Amino acid sequence: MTWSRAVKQFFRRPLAVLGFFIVVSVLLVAIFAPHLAPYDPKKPDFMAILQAPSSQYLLGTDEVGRDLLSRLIFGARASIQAGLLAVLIAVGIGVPIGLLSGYVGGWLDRVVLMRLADAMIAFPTIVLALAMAAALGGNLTTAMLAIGIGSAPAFIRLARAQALSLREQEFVEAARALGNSSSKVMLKHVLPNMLGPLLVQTSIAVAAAILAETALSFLGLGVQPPTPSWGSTLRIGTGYMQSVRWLSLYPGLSIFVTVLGVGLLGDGLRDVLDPRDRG
Amino acid sequence: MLGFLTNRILTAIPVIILITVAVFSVMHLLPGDPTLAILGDEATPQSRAVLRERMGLNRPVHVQYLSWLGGLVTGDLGRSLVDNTPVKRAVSFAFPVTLQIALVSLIISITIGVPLGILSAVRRGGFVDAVSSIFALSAISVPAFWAGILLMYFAALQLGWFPSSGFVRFNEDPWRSLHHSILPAIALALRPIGIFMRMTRGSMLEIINSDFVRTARAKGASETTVNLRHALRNALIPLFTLIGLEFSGLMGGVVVIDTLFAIPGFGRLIYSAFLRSDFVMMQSLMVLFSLVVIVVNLLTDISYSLIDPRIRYS
Repeated sequence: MTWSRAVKQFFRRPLAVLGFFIVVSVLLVAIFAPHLAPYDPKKPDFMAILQAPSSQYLLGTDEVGRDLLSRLIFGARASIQAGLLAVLIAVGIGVPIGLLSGYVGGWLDRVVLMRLADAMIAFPTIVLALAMAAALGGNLTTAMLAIGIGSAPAFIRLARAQALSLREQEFVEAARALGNSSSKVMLKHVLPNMLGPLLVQTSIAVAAAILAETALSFLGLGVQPPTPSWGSTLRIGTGYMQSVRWLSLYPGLSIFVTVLGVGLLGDGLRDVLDPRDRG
Repeated sequence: MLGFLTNRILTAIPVIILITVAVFSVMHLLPGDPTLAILGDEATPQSRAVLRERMGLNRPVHVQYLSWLGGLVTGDLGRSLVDNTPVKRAVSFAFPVTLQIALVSLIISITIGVPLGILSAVRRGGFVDAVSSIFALSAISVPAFWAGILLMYFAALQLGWFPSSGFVRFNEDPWRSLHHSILPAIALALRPIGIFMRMTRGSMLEIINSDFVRTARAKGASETTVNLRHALRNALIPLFTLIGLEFSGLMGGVVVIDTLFAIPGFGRLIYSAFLRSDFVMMQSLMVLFSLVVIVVNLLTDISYSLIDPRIRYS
């Protein structure tokens, strides 16, 4: 299927378009946060502590009087950044390893690279992040690194499976028969033909990475105060759960809607790009 | 079968060794001096030197690694740097708690996710399919800790149906123990519910359209028989691998959920070890965390091969 036809098919699906719309909106909010936020998200105002939502503070204020809406708008930055960079790391680790493993096969595949992937899968991402935070300090960079490493095995497996099946196809065989080097065949013929499934996996991984970043920030391992993030705001919100509902409601809702948007987008991509799972 | 089993177990061994090397290296990159963490900033150089010697930190790194590995193999997980209790004892208290919550969570996710997936596939394109597909994607998109907060607020604090936090051990009071594990288990189950539903739906759809199911239908078998006896049995096979994969997420999830619900499980143990820079405790716990994931994956692989003989020979 050509890419332009895939795009046309994608935009014929209402849920996929909704997902696309949500993702673009969150991206725009993250980019233009300074212009959109009504207040300084880091500046405490001790005259306005824990104010309920009103016309002045649309979503209320937090425990030191900061405007919640402004903090959520800026919080989008941490989540988007973590989602994209972590997955970039995962793709950077996973695709080369998987491609090599599947295309070259043999000893390198079964004894070295796949066992490495098994070892990586055995570590829950959050546990990996705890260890890395202990060694390198808890901050957004460490969190992104941990999430990236944690999401890499899925890319290793996917790229390997794709390379294994593409290797046997006639056009790859033809490229090999023409005397092209292995690395050239891998990069010019095998890799471009797995972009569809890779794109689908990328959207799944972005959704999971955003969830992981908010979980780590919730534990205090990701974004550090006073920088706003959805996860750390929820952490504060838990402490006031009984009396101050907006502090735990809106940050969670922001995460949920964003991840749902990425998920809808990903399902749309899968429907048009990955014929295997078409339901 | 025996060949498959030995092969599967033998490949797990280098993976476990790789993990111990990785964990050990990461933990030894730690910037601070562990003796400072234990004795405090006012410790004299002499007392720190004595402690270093006692902890074996003056030995070459590979000797330290091997003695730690030897300990792990013989069941000696070391002692906590903070209160000097054996890590093994802390683990034996926390592990059953986490196992219980993980099992309850798996049972919930399978009993909801699989039937929903079947229903969706059988009523493909209909209203039920649309609603449960959106439900599944939502369940995957909800952060477990936020779901936990909402459950805690509505089901525990507002309605009073469940305790809002804490835990009772199963051997003390099984009923209350289950009661305490329901909310955390639901929070952890949401993602697997969505994943299992989508997987069951997908593989059911594939199988419903396959030749042997068409044959069964042509022979006059009722729609229910076809769906449940012929299609479902085959559709469930991939579920086993998925359970293994989801288990890793579940073990990560307990870190957040234990903290939120104040549950004395594995998650809280490793998180408090992190907060107290108890690196001996962390080191052993990390290996145990991944060991649990590996063992569960091994078990699912084995049960998978018992059901589907094709796996053993591929």
